[in-house]
Amino acid sequence: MWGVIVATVDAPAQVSWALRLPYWVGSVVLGVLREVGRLSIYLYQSIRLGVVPPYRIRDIFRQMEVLGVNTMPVVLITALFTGMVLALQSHTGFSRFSAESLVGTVVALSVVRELGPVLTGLITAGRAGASIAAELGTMKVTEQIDALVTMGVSPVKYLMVPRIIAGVVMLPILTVFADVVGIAGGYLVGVEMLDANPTVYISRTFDFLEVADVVGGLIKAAVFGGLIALVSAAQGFNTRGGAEGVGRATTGAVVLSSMAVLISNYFLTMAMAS
Amino acid sequence: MITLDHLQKGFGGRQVLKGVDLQVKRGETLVIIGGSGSGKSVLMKHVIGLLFADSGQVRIDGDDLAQLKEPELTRTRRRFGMVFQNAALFDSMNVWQNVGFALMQHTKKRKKAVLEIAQHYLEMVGLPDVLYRMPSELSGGMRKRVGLARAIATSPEILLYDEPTTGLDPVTSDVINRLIRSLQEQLGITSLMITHDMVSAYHVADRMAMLYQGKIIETGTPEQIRATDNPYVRQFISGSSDGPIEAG
Repeated sequence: MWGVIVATVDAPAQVSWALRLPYWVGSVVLGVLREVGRLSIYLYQSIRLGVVPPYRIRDIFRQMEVLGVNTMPVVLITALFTGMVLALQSHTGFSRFSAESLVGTVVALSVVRELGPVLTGLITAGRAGASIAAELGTMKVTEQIDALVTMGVSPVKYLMVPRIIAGVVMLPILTVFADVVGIAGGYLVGVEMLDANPTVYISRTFDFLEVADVVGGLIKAAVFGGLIALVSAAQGFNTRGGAEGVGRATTGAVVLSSMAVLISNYFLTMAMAS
Repeated sequence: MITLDHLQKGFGGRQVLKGVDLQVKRGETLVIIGGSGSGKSVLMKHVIGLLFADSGQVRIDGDDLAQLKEPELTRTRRRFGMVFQNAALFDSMNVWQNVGFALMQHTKKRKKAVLEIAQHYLEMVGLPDVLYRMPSELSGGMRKRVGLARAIATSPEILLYDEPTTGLDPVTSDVINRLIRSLQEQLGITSLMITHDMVSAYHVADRMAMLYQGKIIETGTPEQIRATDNPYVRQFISGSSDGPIEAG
């Protein structure tokens, strides 16, 4: 992450050893502030331009396919095995104080409140974030984005807004599938491998699960979806310097949007807990 | 029509434009010549508001671009058509969608009508049979011609050409030059071209200006430029490595 941010700050020709640390700290602070400022401007423009017609429904659906449908297989496989591992691990722990019957509860709560949205977010950041940054970055270095501007079309409205809307809509949908498959993975291990009673397992799974847990997870997912699209599109728009620049933008998009998912997850969890 | 008033622009401490003064009159074709790295592309990006000057003004019919609000700036940009160096065609769209893109965005014309307009302009640039081809299936010269058709499809008042013959073989370059000249004669559009291709410059220019180290050092008709005493201009138009200009 630091590499991505510090790389945006011009290095002076000569910096003495004594000044290296303060220079590095200053560079990182400036880099973070610059990135946050840039994203804030893009977010403001996206909201301002997103609420006025034309709404470009076809573009939004196309992006929903890229962000959602194409990411689905990876999300489902990850969720399945995460649910299975979670059941195994919690069974190992709980068996030490004879609380194996709580495995279903722990799997369900962990997947729905935390792992479902976060893993879906991270996978989308890796897959769709990279794709968004590479596509828009290539458009930038081949002057296609300049061409849009010269034709009086806002790149934010035309390219960024559909991706953000697709992210906000599709991440919760992906998360619902991840939740279901993750819980099913836990059930498979718990009941089929560890011989838990299916009726007890299912009742323990849903007894302690509240609607608020599910809704909270989906709200997180919606925020992650918007952030991934925003960060990745911004990286694409700010690409410089040919193929190498597109590579840098793609890496930056994955790193920064993954960080955005993890950091915002903490603050969202804190806000929901309070 | 276009007035550049003491335009200055720098990037990261390097001054690229050091006070450019220039006027493009309505209906004329002004060609700015200059070597690689002389600031030609930066200058052109200022004219259409893709970049904004550190000081000085770009005025279109008296309106300072830097003072325009976003909707006015967008309206002003739509008075232009721009032909990019590498055509900058949208690679996710086929040829007719590229040519008709601005019309689809800004008018209520139906798909069939836009298709017919695209066909008309593609015929004008000598490419009647490429409507459904993707940009990746076109040669460099064809891409430039599609770029030209896209630029004129909105009937602009001003056309900007960014090195329209760079990277093309001499025969294809001549096709493009003749096309630009015939479009000017047919449509009477005010045009600003930047190039370092002197054959192209002489072919299309009503007036020429030379940009060197961020300043306009000479302006005149093609004949005046040919007969100039300015050693920098003489070296550049003769294409010699002997003289005061250092290779970029």
